[in-house]
Amino acid sequence: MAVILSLAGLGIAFLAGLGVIYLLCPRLSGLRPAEVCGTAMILGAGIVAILSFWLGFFLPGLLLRATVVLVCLALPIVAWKRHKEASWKFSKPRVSASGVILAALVACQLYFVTWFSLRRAHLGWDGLFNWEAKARIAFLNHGAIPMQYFRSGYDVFHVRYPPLVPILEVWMYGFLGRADQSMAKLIGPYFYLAAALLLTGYAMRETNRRLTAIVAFLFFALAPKLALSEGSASSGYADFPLGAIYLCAVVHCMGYGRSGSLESARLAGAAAVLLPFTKSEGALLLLCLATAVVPAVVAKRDWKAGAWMIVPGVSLFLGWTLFLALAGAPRETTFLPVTPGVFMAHLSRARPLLSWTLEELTFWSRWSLLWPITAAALAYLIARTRRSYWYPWTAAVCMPLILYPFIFFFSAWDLAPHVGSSLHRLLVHVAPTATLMIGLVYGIVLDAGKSGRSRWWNGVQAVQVLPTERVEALLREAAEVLQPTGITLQDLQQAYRDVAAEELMKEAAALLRPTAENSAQRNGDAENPAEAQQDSTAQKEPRSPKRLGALAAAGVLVLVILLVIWFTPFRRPTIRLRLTLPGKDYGATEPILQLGRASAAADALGVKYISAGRISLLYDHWGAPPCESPPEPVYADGPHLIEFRINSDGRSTSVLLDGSRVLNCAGLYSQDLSTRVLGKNTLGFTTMRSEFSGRLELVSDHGGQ
Amino acid sequence: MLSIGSHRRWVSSTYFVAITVLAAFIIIGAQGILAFVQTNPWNAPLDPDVTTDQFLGILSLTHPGVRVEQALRSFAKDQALLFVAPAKEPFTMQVYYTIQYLAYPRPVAAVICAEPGNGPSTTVKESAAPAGIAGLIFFEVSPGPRAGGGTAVGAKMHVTPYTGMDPWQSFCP
Repeated sequence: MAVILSLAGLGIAFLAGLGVIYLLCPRLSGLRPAEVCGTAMILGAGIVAILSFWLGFFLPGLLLRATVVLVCLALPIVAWKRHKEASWKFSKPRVSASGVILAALVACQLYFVTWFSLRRAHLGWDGLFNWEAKARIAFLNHGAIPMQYFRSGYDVFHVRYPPLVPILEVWMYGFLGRADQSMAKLIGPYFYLAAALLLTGYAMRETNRRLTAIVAFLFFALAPKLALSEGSASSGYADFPLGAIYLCAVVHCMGYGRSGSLESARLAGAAAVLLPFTKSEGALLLLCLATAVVPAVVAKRDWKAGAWMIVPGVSLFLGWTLFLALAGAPRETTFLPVTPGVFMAHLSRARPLLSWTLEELTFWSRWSLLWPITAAALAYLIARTRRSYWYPWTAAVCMPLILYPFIFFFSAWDLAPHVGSSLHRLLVHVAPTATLMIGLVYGIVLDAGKSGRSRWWNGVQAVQVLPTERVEALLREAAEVLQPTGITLQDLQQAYRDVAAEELMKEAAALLRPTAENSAQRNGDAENPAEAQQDSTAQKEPRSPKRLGALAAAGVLVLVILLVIWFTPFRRPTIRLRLTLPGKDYGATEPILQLGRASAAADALGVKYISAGRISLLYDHWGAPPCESPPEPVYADGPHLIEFRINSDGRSTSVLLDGSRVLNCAGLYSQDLSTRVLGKNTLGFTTMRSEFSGRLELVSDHGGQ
Repeated sequence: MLSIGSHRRWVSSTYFVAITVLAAFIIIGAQGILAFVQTNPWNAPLDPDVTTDQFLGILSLTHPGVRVEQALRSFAKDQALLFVAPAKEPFTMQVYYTIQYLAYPRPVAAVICAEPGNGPSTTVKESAAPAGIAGLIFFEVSPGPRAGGGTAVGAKMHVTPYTGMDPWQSFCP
């Protein structure tokens, strides 16, 4: 029952999202049904959060919830009444094997993420204290976050963090009649489904092929970090929702770049407005989005569309900042002020930051090969497509990857644990967008492999990069030709916006091109030589296979270099162990790994059993105070992976437990890893017992002198 | 100018690389997902307090979150509380933050007791209780004579009312 009530709340949000889409985008601009649903889920969540948050200061409890429900239900009705004549028309769905496979893949993955979210993971530290705590406080205060909360000094709750996710949680609590930490976790799968629909829908819109959508979804579904662990869709963190919202904004920005449609710009703006309302880093993503769309806006001189895409998000960011100032919320102490002085003072962080970022990007068990493939896909796009196409993708995917490590120059915390606990979650924001870009590149490659040349891609080359004025000219020319049949220019303009007709228009454009060129030649190109030159540039054939081959080879070379760095001695020496804990003798410390040949010049790693389900790892550098991790949750009956690494500076070591860095300690006396002894304390360390009582096996031993 | 044959060769080699990379991604990704699922065998109940119960697992009780909330209900919503716990206990801060979460809107300050000879005890959020404290929450610290009239939450926690202005460090053993 609790699940049904929670889904009812989310369903009402979805209806509100549909209403907003219908209001902003009555003709749909060629959107696929999957894209409409995904966008409605995102925008609906945003409508509920924004309305509930701001109205919560004026309306009490039940009245607040009733008002928001009424607005949500009224939005689709008002939109339908207002745009009755422009009813949405989707092409009749065709049942095909690829369609069934795609639907089955999405359903299976959604089930898996929901199951894992509800039955295998709790909210986690940030999920409880940073996000759900606000929802609980709002629930106890009749659905609204009280003003005094912002100046209450609850620094552990991070009062300055934006409230979209907590307000959505309290929205569900309103339907349940209680705060429920299990049901709060349904928000992750909700955004996961939205992202999957947007991803597959846009891939199909762009390429008109389900295979591309399947490939894009495989990259999305099989990147472990997007489905599991901290920051993922199955955690209670706000990182994945932010990633899904960013994907939604990018999809509609690309839609704008493709069609120049104001409707796409409106949807992009509606999604972008939620970025700074979801997480502080949303402001950076908004900046990336602005950087991605500005050249297209300037080229088209379409200031109205530009304003639609950027101004709402910037306004909300400024509004939220102003609200926090007026509410008297204390400043966060996580980051120092962003000034040149602080940057110069922390310049020495550049090397470790670069090293940790590369380490994260090549963390296979978290990301599989996602980031190297992203790099190769970007190289391919740059080589194969026009600047107007590759530039927005590069800005949308690369800029966050550069900005996120950069912000740690201003970290006020101990750098290693701050980066170790945050960077992997920050990359979740951009990963769904990266998977979509990879899917589209695969669309080009697979299409070319099947037919010898890329069919839809040539269409994209021929038409999509044309400026709006040029498309208008082509449409006018077509209208003249079709005048005897009774088809008018207005009919063609409307048809151009429809996805099915759009494909026909590509063909029409290809057919009309020689006529237009002949006409231009007849007129001697005297009227506008610059435009003639621009068209000639836009329509030139794709670059030669020889040049493409060289660029693809460069991409592969980069990939190989990354692999070489990872698998050769350049990589940090690492020992990987798999162990199963006995987990009963609380208070005891047992040895896992011993390195060194003689007492007084040796190092040891041990496990300390704290209580049921809790351990800490202890590193003993002989003669130095032991270095101990905070308590970590573990499972007694499951295997755990421990990675012991010598850091790139050679003077320190780090230990990862199940993929998370838990220790950063002194270096080894000897970097000769062949001296290792597993599970035994043969040199007389006083901090641990003589033998490990669980099961221990060496997974790999890599590097060392 | 490249011949049609060389173009096809290039296309087919790119196609081959793309398929191989996709296969590698699927294999490594699936392996990562399986490994993660295997290392997380916890079977979580569908429970409104599932996370707070997990965070208060050190108390070795069933539904510790509900038990703590019940014990705190005897205090008015504007009364300040003081959490007293030892610095040597690794769960001290985790339990303190969870108590803050459960006690809201009651402000909760803390005194973290150092071991004898290991420096002074530290206090957290002194500003939370400007007008004095109305209750004490002892975690892994014996309440001693102050236990009277209070509630035991398992063997490791004791919640007791308090009136007075003793220095906070005096609550440490």
